[in-house]
Amino acid sequence: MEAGKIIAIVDDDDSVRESLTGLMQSVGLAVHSYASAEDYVHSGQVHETACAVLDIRLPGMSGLELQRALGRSGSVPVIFISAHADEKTRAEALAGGAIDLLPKPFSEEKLLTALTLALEQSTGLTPRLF
Amino acid sequence: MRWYDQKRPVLRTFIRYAVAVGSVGVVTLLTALLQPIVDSYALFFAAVAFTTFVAGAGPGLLSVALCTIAIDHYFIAPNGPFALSAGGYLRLAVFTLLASLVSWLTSARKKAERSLEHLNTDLEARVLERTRELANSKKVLEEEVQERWSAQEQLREKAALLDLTHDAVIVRDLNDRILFWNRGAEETYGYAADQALGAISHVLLKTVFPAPFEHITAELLHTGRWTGELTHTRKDGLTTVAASRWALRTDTQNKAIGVLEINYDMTERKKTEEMLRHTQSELAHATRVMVMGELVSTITHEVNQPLCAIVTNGNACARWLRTPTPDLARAQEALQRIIRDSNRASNVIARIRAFVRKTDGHTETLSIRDLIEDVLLVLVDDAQRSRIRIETRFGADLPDVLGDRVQLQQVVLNLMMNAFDAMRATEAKSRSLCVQADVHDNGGVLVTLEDSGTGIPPENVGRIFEPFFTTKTAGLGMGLSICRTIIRNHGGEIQVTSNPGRGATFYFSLPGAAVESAPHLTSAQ
Repeated sequence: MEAGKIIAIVDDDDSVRESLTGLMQSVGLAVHSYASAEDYVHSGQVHETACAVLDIRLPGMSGLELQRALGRSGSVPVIFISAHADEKTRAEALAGGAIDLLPKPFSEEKLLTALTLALEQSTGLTPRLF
Repeated sequence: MRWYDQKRPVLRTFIRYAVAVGSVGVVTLLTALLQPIVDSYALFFAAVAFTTFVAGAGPGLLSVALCTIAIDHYFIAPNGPFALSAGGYLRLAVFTLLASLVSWLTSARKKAERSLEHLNTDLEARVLERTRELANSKKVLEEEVQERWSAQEQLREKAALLDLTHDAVIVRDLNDRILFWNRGAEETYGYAADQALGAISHVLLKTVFPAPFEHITAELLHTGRWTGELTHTRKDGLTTVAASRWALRTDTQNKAIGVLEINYDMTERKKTEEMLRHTQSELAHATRVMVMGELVSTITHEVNQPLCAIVTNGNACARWLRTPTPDLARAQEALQRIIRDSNRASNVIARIRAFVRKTDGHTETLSIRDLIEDVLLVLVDDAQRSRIRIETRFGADLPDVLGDRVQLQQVVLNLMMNAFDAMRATEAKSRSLCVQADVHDNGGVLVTLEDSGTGIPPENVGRIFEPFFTTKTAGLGMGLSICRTIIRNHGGEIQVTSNPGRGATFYFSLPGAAVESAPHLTSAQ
């Protein structure tokens, strides 16, 4: 698997993590998933990440804090997912350079569109995900 | 006072008779000396008159006798006693008669003078006595006037005192005619004293009695007292509520003569109580709204998570099946996860339905463990956001409790949210809340909530359950007061201990459902 093509999923909900991993694998993407921002930051995989799919609300470091941390250590495109994001959070996320904030539950189409944009940004190539 | 009017009566009598002897002696001597010039007994009359006048009737008679002897002896018959001629006897007899007459007349005159004198003295004494009597009665009258005046003054002072009180003080006779109306009554009811005096009190004030008037009167006459709540209408038409105390007034023979009525105006207090009740009700409502807000947030989160997983798994499953060589194993895995997450979502809904189940004022047998877990379900999201670790410990064989589910949920929710607030100011790493339920010594349940927040300063520990006591800028300070009301209504008690800087621990107890003394539930609102 090519470096820089790994999708990182950070969500503390097991079901969400498992389902996203399954879906991304079904479209041919390599996935690493983490239950907390700290786990991800300390995994040593940050530099190999083509796109980070982050839950907003996480135990410990939040999704938005992780976004800022990633912004400092290079440019990893970020897609946020959230079970109850308000407009303020959405505005903050987009201002921080996020591709999108997808409210849970979201459609496959929206996720794959955001992923396509993210991968274009990080690899310069347009993946065929649909 | 006469010169002989001495204290010794024997001496006085002697002197009186001596006057008789002396005067007759002097006259006899003078007559003998003057005989060559004036041959007359006239001087003897003078002696008799003098003696009688000066010394009285007795000495007067003696002087008559002595004069008779002297005339007989010296002047008529010098030769021997009563050896007289017929003319001599006649002259002597005439003399004695005339002398006796003189003596009698003098004596009578003297007597008249004396009795006049007595009369005078008597009159004087009587006038004196009457004057004294008059002076006495004047004094008595003066004292009486003084007494009455001071009694009136006292009454005036008492009435002035009665004017100082804000209570309405009314005195009425047995026909309810107003006899006294103090300033408090003027202020309370708007009628001036001169408008109220003479009026029938309950007609004037349109009094609404809490019991039939005859019953009240009967009680008053029987016990001498009555107390109760009366509704009156003021002069301006507004109604007032008074705590009224009546006392029967009796005269010295213990006969009822009237009623003293003191009315304490409770309108303001009633209004305040009403406002407080209203505020509490509003707050309870606000608490419910807050609970609902938390609930909506929880539903959103707890349901959207499995829904998200279901949708995503469904999409993945479809993809595994859509490929030229369907990966049935992976599709199967995705389907299994869909079933699992659907069940999870369904469970969340079931628990939330249990939480919001309409149980207003409804007493039921509850598991305190379920109740705490239901509340935690509502708060788990908030806890995560605030990075608070929640630990629960439930003792074995916890008895059920009897109570109102919604009210007890409110208590647990309120205590937990307070704990969260107290911990937000502390370092994130150490934020933890331990919720514990154990069997109480009395057979009930003891719930302990121990947080790692800022704690409560010692000076506030005693006041924390008081209404409107708050240290929060946004709080009204009713939360813990409502908690205490609810717990007490359930027959339990709530307490707090605190180690400033190291958190606070709230305890509340609830009697077990099996305990005989069932709690009397009243609405916390």
